[in-house]
Amino acid sequence: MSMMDAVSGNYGLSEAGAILRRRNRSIANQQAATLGQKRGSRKMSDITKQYVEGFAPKMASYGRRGLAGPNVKSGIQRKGLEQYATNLQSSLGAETSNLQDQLNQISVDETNSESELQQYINDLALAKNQRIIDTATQLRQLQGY
Amino acid sequence: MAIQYVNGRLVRMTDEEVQAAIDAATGPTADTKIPKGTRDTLTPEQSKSRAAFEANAKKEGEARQLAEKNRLKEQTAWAKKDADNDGIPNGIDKTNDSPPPPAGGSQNGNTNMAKNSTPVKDYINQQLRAAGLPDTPANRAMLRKEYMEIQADEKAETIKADAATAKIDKETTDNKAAFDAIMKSIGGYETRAGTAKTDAMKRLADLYDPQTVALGTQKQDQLNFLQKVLGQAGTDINASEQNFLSRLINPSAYTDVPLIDMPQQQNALMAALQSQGADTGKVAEQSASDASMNTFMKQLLSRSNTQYGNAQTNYVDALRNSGMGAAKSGRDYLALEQPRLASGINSKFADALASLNTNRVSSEGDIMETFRKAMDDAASKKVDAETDYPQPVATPATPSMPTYDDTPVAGEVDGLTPEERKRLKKALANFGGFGSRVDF
Repeated sequence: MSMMDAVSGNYGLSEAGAILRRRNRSIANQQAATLGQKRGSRKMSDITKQYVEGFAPKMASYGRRGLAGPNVKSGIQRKGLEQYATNLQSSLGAETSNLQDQLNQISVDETNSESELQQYINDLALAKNQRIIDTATQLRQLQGY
Repeated sequence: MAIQYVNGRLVRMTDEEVQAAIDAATGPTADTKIPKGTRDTLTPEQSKSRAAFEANAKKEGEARQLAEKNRLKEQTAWAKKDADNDGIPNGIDKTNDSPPPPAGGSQNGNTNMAKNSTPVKDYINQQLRAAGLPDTPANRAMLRKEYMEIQADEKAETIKADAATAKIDKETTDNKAAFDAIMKSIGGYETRAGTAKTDAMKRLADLYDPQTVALGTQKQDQLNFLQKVLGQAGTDINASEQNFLSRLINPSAYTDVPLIDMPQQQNALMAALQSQGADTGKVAEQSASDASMNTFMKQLLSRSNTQYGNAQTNYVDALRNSGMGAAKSGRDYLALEQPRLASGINSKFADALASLNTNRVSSEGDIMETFRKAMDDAASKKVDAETDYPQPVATPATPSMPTYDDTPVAGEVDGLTPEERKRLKKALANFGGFGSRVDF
C-alpha cells in the first residue's frame, strides 16, 4: 500500500461527510423555499382579501358623513380611496419583496453551501497532497544517515 | 734450511751444511789432537784466551745440542702425527695409505734407514760429535740415558697431548649433543610459535572476514533500499500531484445562480377605484417602485455571486499552484537528499569498516608481537646455547632447523656430565609457553 493509499482513506471519509451534509442542507433549503413560497402566496391572498372586504365599509363610512352618495363624488372620498388602494399595493409590494428576498436568500445559501463544499473538497485535496509529499519526503527509515 | 754469511755474501745452506760449518769452526772432533806440551808452552794470556774460547765453544756446543735435541723431538713428534710425511696429520689425513711402520723399526716409518742406524745410536753419535765428548762407554751410557729420558718425556708429552685431545674431543662431543638438543627444542618452539601465529591469524580471518563481507552487503542493501524508498517517494509525489490536479474542482457554485425577480401583484381594488372616479396613478407608482426595488436586489445578488465566483476561481488557482509547488519542492528535496543519504550510508559503513579493520590490525599486531617475542626468546636462547655450549667455527652459528619435530627432549642425554645435564635441562625448561616441559 502506497503512502497515497494510506492517507486517502481519511480524506475520502471527510469528503463523503461534507457531501452528505451538503445534501441535507440542500434538502432543507428546498423545503424552506417551498414553504416560504406558499407562505408568501397565502399572505398576499390574505392581504388582498382583507383590503377587498374592507372596501365596502370604507365606502359606507364616506356615505354616512355625506361625502359619498348616488350623486355625490367628493374629493375627500377619491383621495381616501386612492390611499386605500395604494396601501393595498404597498402591502402586496412589501410582501412580494419579502418573499423574493427569502427565496433569493435560500438560493444564495444554497450557492454558498455548494461553494463551501467545493472549497472544502479542494482544501482536502491540497491537504492530502501536502501530507503525501510530507510523508514521502520524511524518509524516516533513513534518518540514521 | 738457513741463510749464512760466507766470504762476504749470503749463501743458502741446508741444516747439515750449517752444522758442518759450525763443527768445523768451533767443535773439537774426536780426531782433534792437541800436541803434548803445547799447553805448557802457551803464555798466560794465550791460556786465558784458550780457556775463554773453550768455554764459549762449550756453551755453543750445549746450545747446538739443545737445538738438535729439540729438532729431533719435533721431528719425532711430527713423524708420529704424519706417517707419510705429507704435512697432513694422521688424524685428518684421509690419503695416508703408507703401510704401518714395522715392529721395532723407525717410529716415523722411514724404511730407508740403515739397519745399524738406530735412533739412539744416531742420537749418541750426534751428541758426542756436537758436544765434542770422547766416545766412551760412560758417555754413551749417559747419552743413552738422556735419550731414553727424552723419549720418555716425549712419550709422556704425547700421552698428555692425546689425553688433552681426547678431553677436548669429549667436550666437543658433549657440547654438540647439548647444543643439538637445545637447538632441536628451539626449533620445535619456533615451529609451534609459527603454528600458533598461523592459527591465531586464521581465527582472526574467520572472525573478521565475514563481518567485512557483511558490511559490504549491508551497505549495498542500504543503498538499494535508499534508491527504492526515494523511487517510491518520487512515484507517490507524482501520483499525488496528478490525483490532486484531477480532483481539484473548478468553482461552479456561483455560476447560473437562480435568483427570482418577483412580479408585482395585481391590485384587486383597481376596478372599484376607477368606478369611483379615483386616480390609479399612485397605485401604479407604488407598484413600479416595488418592482424596481426587487429588480435591484436581484441584480445586486447576481453581481455578488459573480464576485464570489471570481474569488473562488482565484482561490482554486492558488490551490493548484500550491499543490504543484509542493510536489516540485518534494521532488527537489528528494533529488537533494539522494546524494546526501548515499554519502551518509557510505560514510557510516566506511567508519564501521575502518573500526573493524582497526580492531583487526590491533589484534594482528598483538599476535605478531607475541610471535616476535617468541622469536626473540628463541634467538636469545640460541645465543645462550652458543655461549654455554660453544661449537666449532665450521658449525653454523644459527643452524636452520625447520625440519625439527616437536618431540620433547626427555630422559638422559648420553655423554653429558651430571652438571652439564642439569644445565641443559634448565636451559630447555626456561623456554616460553610454546615449548614442551621437560620432567625433572
